Amino acid sequence: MTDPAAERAAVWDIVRLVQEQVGYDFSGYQPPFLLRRFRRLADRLILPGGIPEFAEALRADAALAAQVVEELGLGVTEMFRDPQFFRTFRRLVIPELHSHPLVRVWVAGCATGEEAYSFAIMLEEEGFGDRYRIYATDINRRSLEQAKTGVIYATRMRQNTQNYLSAGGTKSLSHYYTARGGNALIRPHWRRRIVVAHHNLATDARFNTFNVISCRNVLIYFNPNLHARVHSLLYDSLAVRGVLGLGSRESLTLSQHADRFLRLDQPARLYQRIG
Amino acid sequence: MTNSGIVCIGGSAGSLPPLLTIMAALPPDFHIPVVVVLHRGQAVGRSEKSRLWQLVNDATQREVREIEDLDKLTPDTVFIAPPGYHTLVSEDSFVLSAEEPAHYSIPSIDALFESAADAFGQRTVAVALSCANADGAHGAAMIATVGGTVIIQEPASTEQPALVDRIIADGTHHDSVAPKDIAHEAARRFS
Repeated sequence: MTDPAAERAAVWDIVRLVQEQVGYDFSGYQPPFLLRRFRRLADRLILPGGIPEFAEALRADAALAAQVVEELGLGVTEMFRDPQFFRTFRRLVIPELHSHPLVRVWVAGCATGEEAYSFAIMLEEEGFGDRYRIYATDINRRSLEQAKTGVIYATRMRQNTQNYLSAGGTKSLSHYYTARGGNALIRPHWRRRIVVAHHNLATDARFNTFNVISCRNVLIYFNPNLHARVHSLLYDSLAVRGVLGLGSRESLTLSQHADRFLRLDQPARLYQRIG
Repeated sequence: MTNSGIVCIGGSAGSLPPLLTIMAALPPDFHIPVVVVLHRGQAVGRSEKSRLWQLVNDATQREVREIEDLDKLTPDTVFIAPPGYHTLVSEDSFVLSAEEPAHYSIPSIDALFESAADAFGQRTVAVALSCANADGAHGAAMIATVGGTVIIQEPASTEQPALVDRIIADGTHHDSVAPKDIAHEAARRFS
């Protein structure tokens, strides 16, 4: 097995090389996570020298950088992920949102789009008609390309359907998609209020003010410095009385604005900005 | 604060009874943090505290914490890996990941064991309990390679021997122990 010190040094070499070669900066990510993914990558490429050998390969062939970006891209997402979040959102947030002429939602870290579609479907079912707009952003351009198409892989649809029902869906999920080439295609009508765009939470600025921000299971990958920085961005992007939704094991611990939020419910991680 | 080591316990089907036995037997003068990963489904209840947390909390004098993002790895605590995430460790805190399942499992025992090997090296004790698949065997092998200790629940006492059998086949365990003695054996490794 590889020497731990050599492994760690190689992790930072890879981070630096990827930044140089394709401009993605992963230096703010949690080291145990980087170790895990890079080790997986080295295994998949059948490099007996592990992460250090991968770093050498990357030095020699910049085309491998794209594989690193994909490996860290975390394509694992579901519609209505953690259905209880949506159930609680329907119960506690939706009523207040009706008082707004236009509801702006930011799905920060949207990956291939499932979370954005979920919000669109929920808002449609809750009677928002044309009075909402969803901004779905991510750092990964390949994920964004898929998010723009509305395509979801068929293998995920059973779980998505279960989630939809558990989340309080009032129709059936099949109402919202058609079959396309063996996969599911969310009908354009249900995507018409979604804007998909590139945004890097680590480096990019605030670009709008939102009534709802969903940033679920994104912050977990960031080291404490980056964590705090992103929390500031999210706070600055949230209207007063707007709601921030986090993942089921995430909280405002590292937000310097934590005292300006009210937690809406247990155990859902929904926080309302009150100041 | 530097932790002087870690005990990681992994299991799935049939692991609850031996786990609770271990919890009850943790010596009061043993302070090393204990991290538990059991294969578990998504939480469905409205309560903040899961049933697993309740059972473990009732069994041990230690503080019991179901892991949240950014939690510190503190002594005299039993930590429980939450559903829906992989739990990784660094020297002083937890890192959660929402990656794909490993061996169809999330949380994965391998994920914890491997990160413990990275962060704690020979100061790692891994305990493998009854488990329906071999998730954890690769992590156990890593721990053995870096000089840590792998304790398996005596196979004859397991409801599901898949994990411990694989560890035996890999030749990576140091002790095969009855549930009532595991806590003592783990603590002994740090004295």
